[in-house]
Parts: sequence; structure tokens; C-alpha cells
Amino acid sequence: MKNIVAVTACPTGIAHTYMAADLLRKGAQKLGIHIRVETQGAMGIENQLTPQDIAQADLVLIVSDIEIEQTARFHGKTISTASIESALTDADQVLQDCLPLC
Amino acid sequence: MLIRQAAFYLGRSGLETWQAEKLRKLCTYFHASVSLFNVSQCCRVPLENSLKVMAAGNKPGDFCLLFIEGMDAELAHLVLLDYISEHFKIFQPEQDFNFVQHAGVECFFHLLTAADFTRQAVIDKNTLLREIGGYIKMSADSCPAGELFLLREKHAATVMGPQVALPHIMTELITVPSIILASLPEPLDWHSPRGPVRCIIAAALPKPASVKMIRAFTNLSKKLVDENICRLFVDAPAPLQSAMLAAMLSGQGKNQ
Repeated sequence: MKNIVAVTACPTGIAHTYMAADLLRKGAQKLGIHIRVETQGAMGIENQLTPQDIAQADLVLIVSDIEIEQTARFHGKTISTASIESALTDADQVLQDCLPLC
Repeated sequence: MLIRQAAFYLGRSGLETWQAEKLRKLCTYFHASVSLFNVSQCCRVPLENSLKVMAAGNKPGDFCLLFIEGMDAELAHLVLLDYISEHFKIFQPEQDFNFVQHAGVECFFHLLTAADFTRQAVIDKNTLLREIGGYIKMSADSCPAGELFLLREKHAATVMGPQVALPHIMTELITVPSIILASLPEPLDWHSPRGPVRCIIAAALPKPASVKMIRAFTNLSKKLVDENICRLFVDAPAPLQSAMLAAMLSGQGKNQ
């Protein structure tokens, strides 16, 4: 099973961040992918990825329209990026696009 | 299939074990299936399973809905309502409902019901957002809030769960935090692959917003990605929608 860690963030950080996170979780379940999603919203970082989560992940997926916090921890990992809108429109496709990179 | 509902607030002790057990026992007298939906915690559990009821994370003051479905739902409703009214506070829509008090956040709240739209010609998303924007209090020299909502929507449409949109803006130009709840008589195209909407919860927050305010709105958005709560919300009458909205703002949520 592929293992992805994801970070979602948007400019306001009160709705789209959580919507995208929810859709990624649902999409991953459908596609048989193990995923952990960290949200960086107006409340700050929630469900923060642990160093162990990141180390064990095959890929880091960043779904954001803004610069995310704490990018240094992903150094050396394969990183894929997507816009919030693409995740809201078709989260399954965003995840499928990642799979060849894993 | 007969369906009956009852809305109520839990008391100072929340929902105690002996109360859950008594409710379970009352359910056994009827064929109807009864479930408890704790709106504040966004959790629905069968009432006949008192362990699941206790695990729902009920807290003092939580807003709950009881769903009774079955041929003898009417009778079950009478009996359960009698018990609930004895131990909890029944939600009475005809009484003055204080949104701010129940939501726990200081804000301006305005409700636009389906009746407000029936007089109008066909409305579209842009017209509606401009109309909603008219209720938002802004600093004098700023552009109307409706235009800011439209700008935000261009970024990504704000459909949350089925038929519910949460257009939102956060800017220094807003002087009073505001929530406008609009219920439409017909679904409206929200230019989103997630489908049309019937309920619009427009939120306008000043920047910087207080932590309490941000927490309330993240509570709300996290709950609105739940399909079940959106369906219930869309089908609820306007006074019940207001109470559900206040509960979603104030409740931290079991899984949050």
C-alpha cells in the first residue's frame, strides 16, 4: 500500500483547508492509499505530521495556494504539489497523479 | 414510514448514564427506530445502544435532535418527548432564539428564508452574493462585501457538503463579524463540481479575528464536510437551521 503524507493550506484557512483534507482522506480510502493529512489553517497546524510519518512516507503531497510552514522537514523526500481547487474539484485525480511518483 | 423529530438542549450534566439507559428502555416499548443526533458533536447514534450514546461525547448544553422512524413513531415521540421535557430543555422555535448566546461568538446574524426569495425573479450566484454582501458592515471607503465574496469564489467555489455553501471572507475592511444564513426555495448553481446549493452560510470576519472567532468558524467548516449534517441542515425549517448553525459554531466536535 502506498503511503502519502499531505499538507493542506489556503489563504483564509477556515474552510477550503479542511474541505481539501477531508476529500483527500476520502479519496485515499477509495484508492487504497494510506494517507495522513496535516492542515495549516487559521487555527495553525493541526494533525501535525510526525518525523516518523514523514520518514515512512513514499511521497509528500502539498495541496496549497500559499507558502506552507515548516517545509525544511520534507528535505530529501519526493514532493508533489497541487492547488486547493484541483483537490476540491477532483481529489481522486490529484492522488492518482501522485502514484507514479511514489 | 412515519418520521418524528424532537430538538433539545442537554442540561448542565450533559447526558448521564442513567438517562441514556432510561431512554434505551423507553425505546424498547416501540417498534420505531430511534436515533440521537448530537449536532454540537456531529455524532449520530442509535438510542437503543446506550453504550454508543455514552460514547458520543455528549457535553453540557449540546444541541441534539431525536429521530424517530417507524409505524408507531407518533406514540414513541409522545413518550420520549415527555421524558426529554422532564430532564432537558426542549427547543421551542416560537420562543425568541438568541443566536449569539447559543453560538458563543459575538457577531451580527441575519436569516434570509425561502420566503424572502419567492418574490424575486430568478437569482444567480453573483446576484445573491451581492445581496448578502449588503448586510455586512464594512468600513466606509471599502468596496462592497459582495464583491469580496465573488473574488474569493473565483479562487475556488465554497460548496461544502451536499447543497451547502460557505462563502467566507476575512479582511481588515470588515468592522463587525457577520453571518448571513440564506435558504433558497430551489437549488442554485454555485459553479462547483460539487453540485448546486440550497443553503448558503456567508461568513465575514475582521482581520485579525480573535482566536475564539476562528475556532468557531473552523468548528463549523469541519462539520459542514459531513454529508449527514448537511442533508439534515438543508431539510430543516429556518428556526431549526439557526439553532443547528449556532450549535455547530459552538461545539468542538467529538472527532476534531
